[in-house]
Parts: sequence; C-alpha cells; structure tokens
Amino acid sequence: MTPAPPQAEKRARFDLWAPVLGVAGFLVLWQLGHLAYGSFVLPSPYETFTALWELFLDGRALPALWATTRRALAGFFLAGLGGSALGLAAGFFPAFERAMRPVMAFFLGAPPVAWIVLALLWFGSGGAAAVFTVAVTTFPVVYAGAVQGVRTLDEDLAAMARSFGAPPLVLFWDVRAPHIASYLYPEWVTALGLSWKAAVMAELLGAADGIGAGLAMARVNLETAEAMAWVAAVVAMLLFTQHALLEPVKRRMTAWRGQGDASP
Amino acid sequence: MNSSGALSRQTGDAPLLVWRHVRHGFGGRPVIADVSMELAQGGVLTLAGRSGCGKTTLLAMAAGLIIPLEGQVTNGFARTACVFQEPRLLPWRTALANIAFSLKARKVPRAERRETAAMLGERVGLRPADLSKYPHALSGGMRQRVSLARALAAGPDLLLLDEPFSVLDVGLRRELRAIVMDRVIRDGLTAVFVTHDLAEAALVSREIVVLAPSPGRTVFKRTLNRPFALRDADYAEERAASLLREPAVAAAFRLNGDGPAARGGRPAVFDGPQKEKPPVHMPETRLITDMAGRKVLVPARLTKVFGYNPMVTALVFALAPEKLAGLGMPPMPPERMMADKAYLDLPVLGVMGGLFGGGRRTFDEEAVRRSGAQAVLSLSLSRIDEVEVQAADALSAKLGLPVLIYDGALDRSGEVLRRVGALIGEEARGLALAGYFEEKFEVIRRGVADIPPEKRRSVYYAQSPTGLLTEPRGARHGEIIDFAGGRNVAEVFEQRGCGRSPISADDLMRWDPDAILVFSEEGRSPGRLIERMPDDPFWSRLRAVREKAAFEPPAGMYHWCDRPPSVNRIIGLVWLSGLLYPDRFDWNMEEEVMRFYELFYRIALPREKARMLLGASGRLRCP
Repeated sequence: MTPAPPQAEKRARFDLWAPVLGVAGFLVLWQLGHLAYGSFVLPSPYETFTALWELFLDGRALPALWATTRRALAGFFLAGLGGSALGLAAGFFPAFERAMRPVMAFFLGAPPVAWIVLALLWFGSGGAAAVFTVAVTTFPVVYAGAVQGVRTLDEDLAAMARSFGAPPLVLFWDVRAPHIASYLYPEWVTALGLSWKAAVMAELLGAADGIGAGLAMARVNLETAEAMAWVAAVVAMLLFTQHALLEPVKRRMTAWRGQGDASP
Repeated sequence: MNSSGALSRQTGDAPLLVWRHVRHGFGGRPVIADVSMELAQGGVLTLAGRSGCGKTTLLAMAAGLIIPLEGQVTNGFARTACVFQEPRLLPWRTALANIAFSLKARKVPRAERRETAAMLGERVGLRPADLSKYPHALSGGMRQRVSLARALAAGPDLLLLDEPFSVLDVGLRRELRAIVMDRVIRDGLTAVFVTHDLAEAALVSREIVVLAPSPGRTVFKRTLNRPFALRDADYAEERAASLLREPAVAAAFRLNGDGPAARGGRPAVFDGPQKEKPPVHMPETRLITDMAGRKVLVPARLTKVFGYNPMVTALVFALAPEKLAGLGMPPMPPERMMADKAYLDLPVLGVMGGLFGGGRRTFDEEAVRRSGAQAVLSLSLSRIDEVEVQAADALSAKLGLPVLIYDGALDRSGEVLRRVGALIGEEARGLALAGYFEEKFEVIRRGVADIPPEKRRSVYYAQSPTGLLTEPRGARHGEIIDFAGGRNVAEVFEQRGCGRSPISADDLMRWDPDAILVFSEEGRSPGRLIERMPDDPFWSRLRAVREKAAFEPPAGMYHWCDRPPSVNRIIGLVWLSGLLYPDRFDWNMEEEVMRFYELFYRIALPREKARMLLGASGRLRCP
C-alpha cells in the first residue's frame, strides 16, 4: 500500500485512542457504582486491581492465566483445524455437507453448559474437559465459515486464471485461498473470543486451576474483589488478543474490501 | 500502419485456430450445432449474433476453458489471452498485481512482472496512483482497462475478446478498442471478437461470422478487405446495414416476435456519427440509475421483470402482479393461502445464493431467459457495496439483461416503491404505496422516538428449530425490531446475506429479553418451538417465556417480519409496534390488516380472516 494520507493517519490514531477513552469512561461508572452499593456488592476499581495485583504477587495469577490460555488455545486450535478442514471438505462436496447438516444443528443447538456436564462425565475434572468444551462450542462456527467460503467461490475468476494458464498452485493461492480466508478469518476471531468464555466456564464447573477455578474459589469465599479481579484479568487478556493481535491482521486482510467493511 | 501486410500474412498461412464440427450443449440442451471455422495467424475474426447463439461458448473453447462434447477445437497459437465481458479482477490484489497476474501464471520473475505491468497499465491509460488501488476503488471503466492490460501483459499472439467493451461508455469503448486495434495493425496480433453489434464487427474484423441461436450455428460469413486505417464510422454503418439486408443475417438478428432476443436487452448502440439507423435496431430504451448509482439501459416499456431475491417478488407483486416473470422459490404456505392461481402458476426461476440471500443458489439462468424477463432486480440484504455491484454486473453480462440494484432496508421502502414503480411503468401505484408506507413509518418513528433506551423493550429474534440462530442488532433481517422501538438484545457477529447468526444459550440467558419473536421454520406443527417453549427446560427459564411474551409473527402472502424481509414488513412494523408498546399505539389491527392487504395486494380480506391471521399471535401484552 501507499503511505496513508494525513486524514487517514489521523483516523488511525483515533482508532487507537478510542478504546482507551471507552475504558476510562467505564472505570468512572464502575467507581460510581461502587460508591452507591459498597464494597461487598461492587468493589471499586482500586480494590479490584489491588486484588489482582495480590493475585500476581501470590503467584496465583500467572499459572491460572497460563492454564486457561493453554486450554482456550488448545481447544481453539482443535476446532480451528478440524472445523476448517471439515468445512472445506463440506464446501467442496455438497453431499458431505448435507450429511453433516443435522450433526452441525446438534452441535450448534446444544448449549455450552450441556457440553461441560458431558465433558466432566467423560474426561473427569481437569484440563481435558475444558479443552473439549472449547473445541466443541467453537467448532461449528469455524465450520460454517469454511463452508460459506468455499460455496461462494467465484468460478468466473477461476476460469480467468485458467485462461492464462495459471498452474494449480497459483490458482489456489491467488484465486481461491484469499476468498476462503476472507470468510474463515472472521469466524476464527469469533471462535477465539468464544474459546476464552467457554474455557473459563468449563473451569468454573470442573477444574482445579485456571481462571475459572479461581472464580469458583472466590465465590465460595465470598471474595467479590477477587472474583472481579479474575474477571478483569480475563477481559484484559481478551482485549489484548483482539486489539493487539487480531485487529491488525484483520485490517490487513480486509484492505481490499474498502473502508466500510474493514471495521467491525 | 500498413495493414495489407498483415492481411497477406493471414491469407498465406495455414489456420492455427480451428473449430471442427463442434457440437455442444448444457444439461442436455443443445447450444451449438455443428460449427466449423478457422483462423490463421494475423486474422481478425468476429463472431456476431444475438444472445444465446453460443458465441461466448465458442470463444471459451478457443481459450481451452470448455471442451466440446463433439468435434474438435485446436489452438496452435503459442499464447492465448482472454478479455472477458466483465473484468474478472482478483478483488484482493491491487490493479498492478492484477495486471501482473497473467505473468505470474507464466512464472515470470517478480521484478520483471511489476515492470511490465506498470508499463502496460500506463499504456491502457491508468495513472500510477490507480495502479496501487484495489478493484473496489476503481470505476467500471478502469477495471476494464486493467483487464485489458492483464491480457496484453500475457504477451499473446491470440487475443480473445468477449464483448469486453459493451458496457462502457462510447468514448472509453473507442479508446480501448483503439489500443487493441493498434496491436492488431502494428504487431499482427490475431484476435477473435465476440459482439452483438454488427457495426462494431465491421470496424474491427477481417472476417465476420454471423451465428443464429438455439442451437448456435453459423449462418453467414463475410470477409472485409478494406484496410483498418480506412474504415470509419460511415463505413461500419454501411457495412452493418448491408449485412442486415442479407436474409440469413436478418433472420439471425430478428428481434420482433417472442424470441428471447427481443428482450435480449442491450441495444446495439453505435458510437460513430450516425445518419440513419438500420431498421432492425433494438427496442426503445432508457437510461435508469439504480440505487447503487449504476446507469443501466432498460427497455422503455417493461412487461416482465424478475427479482433474484424473493423480496423483489413481493415488491413487484404489490406493484404489478402481471409483470412478474416468475417466482424465486416455490410458493410457501402463506402464499398458497392467499395468492391467486396466476401467481401460484408462475415458473420458479431460483434465487441467488451466497451473498444475496437464501443461502442456496438455485438461480436458473436458462429459465430466466425463457421466462421473458426483460430486467432483473435485486433488493440488497446489506449495505450496497462493491460485492453486490460486481455480482450484478456479472449477472447482467451473463444473461444479457439489465440488472438493477435497490436497497432492501426497511426505512427506504418508500423510495424503493417509488423507483421501482416508475421503472415498471406503475408510477401512480408506486406513489400510493410509498405514501402509505411513509405515513405509517412516520407515526411509528415519532411514537417511539422519545422512549429512553432503558425503557425500550428488549427483544430476541429466535430462528431455526433450536431458536439459537438470530439476527444481531443492525442486521437487515432483524431491523424491524429497532424500527418498532425495540432493542435487539443480540450483539454477535453477523452472517452476511442469508443471516442466521448463531448465539450461545448462555448469552441468551444473560440477555433475558422482554419479548421473543419466534420464527422456527417448522410450519404450524404442534411440536414447533413456540409450543415447546413453556415445557422446555432451557426456554422455560427465560422471563419472556414465563410471562407469555413469545410471539410468532403472522404470515399472509409473505411473512410479516422477515424471510423474506419484504414490503410485508410494513404491516409487520405496525403489528410489532403495537405489540411492544400497546400504551403508545392503539392500532385497530383488524382494520389495519384489511386496509394493508387491500392496498398492497388488492386482496379483500374478510374480517374473520384478518382476525385469524392475527389470532395465532396477536395477543397484546399488558405493559
């Protein structure tokens, strides 16, 4: 791309600051809520971050974050790979897609909570149940994106490429893959966001470590500040992955669609 | 500039491109019946004929894209390049990279690719700034320049051109044609043009082959010997007129009667100084600007139109049922319940899938041609964007019919009714229906405007038998909720086109909406979602279900709220506003329903039938 004109640069800078402003506003509201309801119901941001800091000092936060991250990512990769592969297959072979449809309806329809219960029965409490839950809840999302991506392939473009004698590899990487990716990538992002939620939820019900387990402990001990600290930790991680890792890639990937579609 | 040299080369050499007794068909229907032609080095051949004569198919065979069912096509040229009717650019590559694509296909090193592409880009009149743009940012004319540059970049000795300039304006067409002809004259490039415009054929070819349709066959050949440099508009027009005096040519181009060509759409506009038009030229046309800002030529009097998404069917049915060329999908129960036989007997021509709605692509181009539709309309399901425009252009090129895009947003229904009314010659009716819409819309807009956000009723829109597919806030399929003053609780990633975005049950539990609209697509089955809800362990925990605030929107002719999101949403909006805010709107719903059906569909609904329509779901909830 050519260097962005000053107008766009200004916009990009605002894009960076806007979330910060939002967070500041949110903190103010939070504090007001705290003043109105007291520490037991709503600990102040200060108390929450102190609790979070203590969790770090205790050496509880990092292992928990790592455990949750590991499970979320493991489940996400399983679902991302499996969902993409099956979705591509279903896209290219309509009969397979028809066979998969009821199965997918089942996966999509079953509430994540139900999966956790099943996973606990099958895998016992521990990491595997969380990984399984994450994989199973995010799988249909990725799958649907892949199917859609293949279904909407433009055969006219493929004919154009063949008319110039494009070898199969060029045909795939230059013509088909970017199109499929434009459908898959947003689903991956959605799935990744879901993975964290699912992982924390699974841990809450049946794991000895991880953020969810920390939340469960905080609940048992009626430690509202600590519970909020865990929530803050997981939200911070989500925001970090989304804005520092995924958004820039997304912006790059959707540049060709133009302004309107580049922002979510 | 001396073209006679090239000419002698042509006559002297053995033919390199040969179609030998070619027969072809699609799906058992013959498209080409025994065509034989040949072309030597340096020749310029034009295949002329109206749409459906197989000229594009013959060209695709020369490009190696289609293998004939019978007969043989041999192409002895070293390098063949195509310029398609639509630009066919890779949307994810810049203009420069698109030009370089033909070189990439030939494994030319990157640096050399870029250099050649930049040079050719300039040659076809693109500025360096344009070369770094993506296709979506280029105008239609610039895209076609890129497409031409890409073909020239391949360094072809045979260039195949499938009416690439036919949608461009006169000046641009002449400019791009000059670039091609320069190559032909100077470098002895061999070319095959496909066109429906005999005057253009006379301007660019050494040999014209006229094809007649269904099935495609050659009916006339003529060689033109005058050097290209000496051909001007008068010459072209005189040649075209003389060709049309040949009975075989006139028959092949015959436009009256009921053949599809009369609707074949694009008139053969000729861009020279014109004196007298040959009498054959196509029906009177006018230029219409659609809501994507595209200028489209349509016949002055449209008698049949078709919509490639089902919302258009509803729109045209309301405006002028007799002008429907066909239905997009087989009639659903709400249609069968009310529509007359003429409507139910209309052929089913399919819908566009993918980005356009319905999800499945069942669009049957052949059936559309047969149906006699003279124009194809679209009501877009998302903001009108480049994807939509490109698909419409491509479809228009493929069908040879004008394709017009309209905005499917509920709040623009008035404008759409007026525009489409004017388009199909139902101006007064368009105005009347638009007036009704705007009156209702304004009453409701003002009625809900002062409701503070926290007082707005939260609504969840449950779709599919699981109820866990929805339309998020801002999606076209669910926008009726917002316009009725509700607050759509779902904030999830929107699926484009056919919608139906998944949510998770725990999210829904957390949102716990005030009301649920249920559209589970299970017909009136007693075991459908809304009936299951009170006893379902999940659904019964939602406040809306416990408080009996789950509703199935009524459906008569079309559904009132969505699927398809048609003009019927106007009565749906009235219904929903009364449902959500009975304290603000006291519609006499039976009267409203009767008036709506009378006005929009000319159906006089007996009062008990109106009550029945509402009865299934018209329970107003006390605030």
